[in-house]
Amino acid sequence: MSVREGMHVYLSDSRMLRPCLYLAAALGLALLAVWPRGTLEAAVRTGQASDTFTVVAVCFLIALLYLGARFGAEDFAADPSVQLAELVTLTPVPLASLVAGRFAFGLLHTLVLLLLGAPFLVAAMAVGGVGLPQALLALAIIGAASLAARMCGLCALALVGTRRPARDILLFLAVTAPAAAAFFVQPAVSSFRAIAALTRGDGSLSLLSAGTDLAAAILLAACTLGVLSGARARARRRAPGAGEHE
Amino acid sequence: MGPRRFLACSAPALCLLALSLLAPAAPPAPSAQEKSLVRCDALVGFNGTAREGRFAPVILSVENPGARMKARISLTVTWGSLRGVPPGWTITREAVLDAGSTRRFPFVIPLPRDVRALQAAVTSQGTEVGSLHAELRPLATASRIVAGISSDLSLDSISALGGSAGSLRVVYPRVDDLPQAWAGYDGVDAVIVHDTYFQQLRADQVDALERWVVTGGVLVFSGGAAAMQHEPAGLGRLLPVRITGLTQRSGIAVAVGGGSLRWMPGRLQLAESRLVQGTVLAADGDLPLMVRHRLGRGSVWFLAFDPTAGSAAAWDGSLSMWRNILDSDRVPALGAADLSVPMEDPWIAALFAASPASFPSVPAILVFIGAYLALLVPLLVGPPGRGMKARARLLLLVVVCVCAGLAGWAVFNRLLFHPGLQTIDAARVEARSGDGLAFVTEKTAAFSASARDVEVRLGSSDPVLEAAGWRARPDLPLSEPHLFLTQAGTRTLVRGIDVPRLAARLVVFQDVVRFDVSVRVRAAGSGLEASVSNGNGKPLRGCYILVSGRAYPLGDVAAGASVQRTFAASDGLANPPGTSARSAADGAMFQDADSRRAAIFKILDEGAGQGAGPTRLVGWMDGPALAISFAGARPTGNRPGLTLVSVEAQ
Repeated sequence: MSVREGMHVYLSDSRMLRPCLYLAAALGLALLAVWPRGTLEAAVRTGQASDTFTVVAVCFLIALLYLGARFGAEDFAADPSVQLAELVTLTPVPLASLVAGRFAFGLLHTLVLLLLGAPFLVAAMAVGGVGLPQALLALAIIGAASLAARMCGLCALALVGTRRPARDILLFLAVTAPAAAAFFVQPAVSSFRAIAALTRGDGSLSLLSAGTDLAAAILLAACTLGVLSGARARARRRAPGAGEHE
Repeated sequence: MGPRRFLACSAPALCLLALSLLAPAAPPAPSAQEKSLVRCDALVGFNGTAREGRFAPVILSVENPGARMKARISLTVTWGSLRGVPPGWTITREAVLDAGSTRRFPFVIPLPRDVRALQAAVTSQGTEVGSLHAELRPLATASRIVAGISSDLSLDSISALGGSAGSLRVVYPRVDDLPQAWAGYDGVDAVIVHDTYFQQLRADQVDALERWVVTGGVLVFSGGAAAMQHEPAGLGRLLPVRITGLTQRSGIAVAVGGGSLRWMPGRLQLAESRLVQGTVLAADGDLPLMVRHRLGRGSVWFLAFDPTAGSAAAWDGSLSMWRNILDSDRVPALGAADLSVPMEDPWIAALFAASPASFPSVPAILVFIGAYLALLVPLLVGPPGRGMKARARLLLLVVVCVCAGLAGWAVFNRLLFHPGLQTIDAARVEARSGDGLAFVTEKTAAFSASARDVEVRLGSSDPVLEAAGWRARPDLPLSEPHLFLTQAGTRTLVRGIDVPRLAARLVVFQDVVRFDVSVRVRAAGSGLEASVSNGNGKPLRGCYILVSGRAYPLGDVAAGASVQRTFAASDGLANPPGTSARSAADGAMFQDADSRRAAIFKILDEGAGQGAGPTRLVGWMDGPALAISFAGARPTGNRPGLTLVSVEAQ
């Protein structure tokens, strides 16, 4: 799927568009729920005010992790497995360009999703105690994590196909386990901790976390390429007349 | 080639070889750093004595035996525990050190009880060319200190007075070493000028003495023959009398407190003088013997006799007289403010509670979310296969998102809520009519919705930063702030103030400033007549005259204007605004103002017992009173600071 094809599919099909609206609505609700209701005086006096920005950013991250994984696994497409399987087994399209195209479109689509949620983050900036640099860092963290989840979804699709619930369980574990492991074992690369650190003015974690997630996305894309190569090789071996050619 | 020709050809080469062999043996040329090493010496306090818990003067002498250089002089004081104050304090100053010169740099440093060390460093072009380390603990004392300006140690008998601190020490600073900033005298209860050994004080030293008296200091000029040195020494404008000569008396009556006089027998040499200002407490005919002139919170005394000479030195009423003059342990101008958590500070709390600054309302964010979603719905739930093309949809989506982002930024980051540093400023200006000087205490609370470092610019090098005002909330981890003060000319830049997110720092500055307001109040029948002249550049707002617990409303006095008003007795409000017994009618006092004035007045004056206080003018000025600016800050709620002005009437 090229970027142009992806744009046509993802921006024309209402099944693909509706999750974006749900995302915006969920973020709007989250922002409304944690919007500070006390006075500024009380907040400064007690030092206790809801971390509006952090909460909205974390909600955004969770939502994009979920959506990224689902979009990556092409859950919202009309018949995803058929498309991917046909492309791999029945066409001579180069697998590297196939994976690279999906990666590139995934990146573009993630940017669109980030843009969609960005106004909520911007509105939460001042009351959340962060500035524009921190907001941009938050978007970078969320975008990189979402891209990694997207590649995770693609990898799961390549591995398991559309067999449910096996694919969903695999996908859930593949997304949540590294996030949990990073949170508890390796906080330096945890996206959640990086977002929480932004309000403390600590931006060093952000770049590390975003970089790690981006590297993970590239690694997962490479894994997907390997899986698809294996699938194509198996398909060729099973194809009638394969032995005759040999 | 013969031997001679060989030698002739190879001679230059041999010379070079010999030189190259000798060169390492020659002493290396002195480096630029070694050439320009400077020697530092520091004099802390008065003759090496300073009162702990107060500010103290330091004179750093830098001797430069080398070439002329531009240097950065820095002085760092460190202390042990935090207890609400920064554990470090560094003052930096740029200077030119001429070749072969010795320069003296005066500083004023805080001297907390657990002070440890003083570190001075002189750097030039990034290289340290001189340093000094001094232990401050042995120099700090808990005793009261009286500074005697005298050519001999003749005032030691005063140390028998003691005081609440348990003991009293008399120190004798050299005239050259007298502080050039009023805060340098913070640790001193009194300064007694006996004689200056025919040395002249510099104008800034005299100015520092005068300003220190305004903050509550006691300055005593003794008489006798040595009094003839006072005016030539440059102290004439501080003297409450004009000294005209010398005379002799056989016994005089001296005021010893409580309005009583005691007889000082014996032959005495007295300074003849004419009263210029103040009150004569004891006199012999037209000859003033004891004069007191109140200046601000302090007083200037003149004794016509020399208490250290002749029969006066042996007089048994000497201690009573000194006790009367020196009164009790001086309340320090600095460090006296009750500094707790910034937002619980009464001045700040009163203003902050009345501040309109608040988070943007929930309906505002609801409207924003609703509008944004309403724009997204047609773009994201269009019927499949129909409607706009993908590229147009993407373009519109981007436009809507960008516009919403910009709107969110403008509304919630600028219009309805300011994310930057905000300040609340409250000040008190205390003056006596006609003094021309006022003691200012300015408190500024700085807070922010996001963590940030703060820079404070002072328009003058004189304001003293209140170290104790550095406390954040007790539950907040303190990052061990270290204050950096950079003095350039008359300006000072303060760095190192960190404001945590949704927390506040309270910065207190104290200074003595020119303040030209005169207030005259006199009885007129059963009422009174008041005349107020405001010679300042700022108007005085909401003024009233307080007389014996009654408030007479005067209204605003414009800058440079004079107001004269006659009040009937019935014009006075029995319960001035701010007092707990304030009646409904008294609300008129603040009808043109706001609740902030009433709140701050209540806090500042309720405990002061205004009914028993002296007749005075109370009004308000738009702040800040001192030339202080916080980089990037704006006043909370777009309101200027509030400054209470209190001028004691003549």
